[in-house]
Amino acid sequence: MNKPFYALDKPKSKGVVLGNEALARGVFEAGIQVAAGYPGTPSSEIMETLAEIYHFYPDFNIEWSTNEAVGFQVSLGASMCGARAFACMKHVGVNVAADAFMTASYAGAHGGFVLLSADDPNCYSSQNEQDNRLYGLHALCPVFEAINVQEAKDIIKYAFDFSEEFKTLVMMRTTTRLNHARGDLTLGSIKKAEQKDYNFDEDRSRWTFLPSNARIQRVTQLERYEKLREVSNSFPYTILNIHDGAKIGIISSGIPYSYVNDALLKLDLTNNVSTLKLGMVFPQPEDLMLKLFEHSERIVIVEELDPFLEDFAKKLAFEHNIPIEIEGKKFFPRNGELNLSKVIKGLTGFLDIPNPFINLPVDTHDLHKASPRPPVLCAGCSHRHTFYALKLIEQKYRNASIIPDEMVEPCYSSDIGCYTLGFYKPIEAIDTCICMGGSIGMANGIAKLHNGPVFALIGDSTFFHTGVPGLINAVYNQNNIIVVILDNSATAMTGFQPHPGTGQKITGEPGTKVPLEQIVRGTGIQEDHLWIVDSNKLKETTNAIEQAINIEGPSVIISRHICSLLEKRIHRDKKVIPVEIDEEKCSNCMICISNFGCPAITMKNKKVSVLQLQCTGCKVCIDVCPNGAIHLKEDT
Amino acid sequence: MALDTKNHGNIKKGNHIEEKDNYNALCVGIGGTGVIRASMILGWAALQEGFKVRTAETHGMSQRGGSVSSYLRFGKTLENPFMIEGDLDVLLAFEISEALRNLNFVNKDTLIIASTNSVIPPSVLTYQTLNIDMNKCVGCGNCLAHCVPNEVFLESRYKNSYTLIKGPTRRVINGYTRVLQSCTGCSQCIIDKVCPFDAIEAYNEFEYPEISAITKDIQSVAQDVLILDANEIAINAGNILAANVVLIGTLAGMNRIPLSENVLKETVKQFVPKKAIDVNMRAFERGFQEGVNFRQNL
Ligand SMILES: Cc1ncc(C[n+]2csc(CCOP(=O)(O)OP(=O)(O)O)c2C)c(N)n1
Ligand code: SF4
Ligand code: SF4
Repeated sequence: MNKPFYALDKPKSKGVVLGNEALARGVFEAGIQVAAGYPGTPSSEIMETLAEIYHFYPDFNIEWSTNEAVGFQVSLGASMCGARAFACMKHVGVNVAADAFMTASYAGAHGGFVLLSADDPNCYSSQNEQDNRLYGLHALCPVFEAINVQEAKDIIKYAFDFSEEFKTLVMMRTTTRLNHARGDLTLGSIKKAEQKDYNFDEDRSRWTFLPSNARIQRVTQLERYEKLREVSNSFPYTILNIHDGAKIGIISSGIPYSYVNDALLKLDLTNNVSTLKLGMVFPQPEDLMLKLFEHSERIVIVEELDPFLEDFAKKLAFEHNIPIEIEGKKFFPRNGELNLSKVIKGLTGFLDIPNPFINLPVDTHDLHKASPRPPVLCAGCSHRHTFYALKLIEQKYRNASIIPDEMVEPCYSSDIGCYTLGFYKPIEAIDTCICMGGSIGMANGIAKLHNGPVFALIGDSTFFHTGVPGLINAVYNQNNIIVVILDNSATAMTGFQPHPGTGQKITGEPGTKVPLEQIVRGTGIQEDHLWIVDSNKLKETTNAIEQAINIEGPSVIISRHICSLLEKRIHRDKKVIPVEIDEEKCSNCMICISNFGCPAITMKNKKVSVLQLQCTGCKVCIDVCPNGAIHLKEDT
Repeated sequence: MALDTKNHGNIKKGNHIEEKDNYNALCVGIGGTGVIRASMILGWAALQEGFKVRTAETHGMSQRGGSVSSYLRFGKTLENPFMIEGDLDVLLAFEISEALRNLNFVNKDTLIIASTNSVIPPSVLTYQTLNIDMNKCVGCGNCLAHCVPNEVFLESRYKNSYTLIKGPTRRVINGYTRVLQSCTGCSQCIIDKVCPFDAIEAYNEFEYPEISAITKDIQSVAQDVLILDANEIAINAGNILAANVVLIGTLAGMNRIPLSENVLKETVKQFVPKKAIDVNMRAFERGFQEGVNFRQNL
């Protein structure tokens, strides 16, 4: 394997890298000893890049943990031993880790500890767009932000030094636009971890949060916070730029600052405003802010999502009795992602000058519209087959009920993963998706009231993540639910990461496979309430579903077939025998398209046809066609 | 107020590179077809030319057939990867309807290079259904008798296959024929002209416009538009997977942004597997020639 650019031991060389690669490089340059986390867009590539670097420098520890709470705790344990530790997750992952995080931040760090939170304004690949800067305030934990790929590397590297110097946890907060952006990066030197024994820190009372210790730690935390408030003013990546005579002051940080920079260039205002760019967004640099207030007549704060800096600035002005106008969310939306156009619009609005770019784009009003391209389950996806089986049984009962329209519909309480795409046409078998592991928990509650069958649909990785307690609850309380575990041997949605059920580690080295069915059996579920089926065998799956509907008490169906995209990646050279359509038999009823919906089946010249390059040869559509018109290509 | 695009008035069409602080390019297409790789090639080339480089991607869940856009900016003073709408120097489209989707980033001087490659999203088919014009329908029920899915649905009840039986697809209600939810939109009734009163018409929630219509639209908004069949050219060069390199070659042949032919070629070489270098260089050359021809014809 060629050494990728970001693994080179050549300080000062230049390349173009992904934000996540730069972050991984920074963590590596800092000389970490333990990295742990759980996949989640847009953070996943950080851990994957570290694992790639590990191949060339296998002198640190790295793992995908079962979930974010465990990942955080693993890194915390390493920090307790005095080692540099890194925990990596997406924004909502921090909610899962929050119990540990909130208390650990009292004690702070022993070895440098950095928690990366990758936020996702505009919910590009998330269930919400929460602003995790607020966690900094909540836990009194410093929060750092970078404006570009270079700073991302530099700041996260510095964060470890900072963490050790002030004995504090540090949160590095990024957003999709940094994680998934590319930019030029100049490499720095790689710090080698100190060669010494890293044993557990003997300061027991620091790590044991009995009430008596907790009260003492809380005081330590508050004292540390006072120090951090001070330090924030001299944070090396926080820059105050006062322009003489400027009446306007702008406060910003992270990616929004990069828009501010370019907006000022575009508007030719760079020398007419003062700026305060924060590298540390919590605690905020009060002295610098006050200085900016002093030199300005009006202040505008450009930040994404919540008015985090704005609220603070207003409070600061109030406390110091400074009657200065401070604006923010009045000109910049609180939801979604900012971009250059929105920032120019906001700034021109604030300055009350015309937006000179409003008429730049061509008029597309009278042109055709491109049809939307929503994501769909892949060709041959095993999830589609499980869904189809569920729908078949549902329809069977609908057809059999005396007044068809009065059947109580089943409820498909569901979860997060590729299978959530089953919400869309033609499947439409997803009724809920709130948080990882939530499907089973919510099903427990729904089943207490809903009269129809209640399913919980959950992926294998999600089941390991937080699904197990919900199942234990159902068994314990005898809640009448059918848990369908969609086991495709991968964390597919976020990029096919391995998980406990696959037995493979992030480094590619073998771990121990944790058998899913053993966990299910271990909850005490009755043996005749458990089915393990092949998702690609419709008959097997429908039989299991039908039996499960007709028994009382909780039951589990493990519907198992490897993710078709992953299979293609693993067996690149395997010959695929696609299916084709027998035009004689095909009535062009479009059932295979409209009701089943494999994207490999399409219409060509008004006839149903199979895209030969896309078809994975899973053969399931053969059973779906009522006319027997689909067959394997070899058959003819 | 100064625009990046300040020398608009006297911009030379095609044959010279406009001097600017920053340049904006946008690569668009479908997930998994090399859009992001193309933008990476341009980015690395820009780095070789001594520029600051920024790219950003929007791709949602692209592996599953979604749209992908890769924004690329390079230059001296910029910081963020997004250009404002209408401020594009170059639009490279690897799928033609994606060019149409992104015309809001284009101004009349933007150079547009698009491949005729077209991929119809599955949703266009799954959201297809019928409309019955109540003013024309007399409730004769002719279409009910001819409805193909209706027939197969009914038949399948007795067959041991796994067809999703959704019940009848039409019904006569209050004297009018109604299309029900379970209509698959197959339109056989329209093709076979079973309605004596012409009351049935296809209804597509989403429509994929004809390639010729898309082409016309694109050509109507900008002056310099080159639409070519990159897939065909790549196949002739030896491998359809080189289609994105064809477009990079075309861009080099156009000589509109300060990324030189040689630097682009060398960068392409670093990005493709060793055994595919020859094919990709052929693809680049052929694309380059297309670009040169176009420029000379201006
Ligand atoms: C708390 C939290 N962590 C991580 C994620 C990111 N995420 C979305 S889906 C998914 C995993 C899906 O894996 P699996 O359940 O196996 O389903 P598949 O995608 O393989 O169908 C993850 C990790 C999230 N949304 N929330
Ligand atoms: S990546 Fe795998 S699990 Fe996800 S939609 Fe594709 S085949 Fe299905
Ligand atoms: S065999 Fe049928 S269902 Fe499977 S991938 Fe091919 S067309 Fe799709």
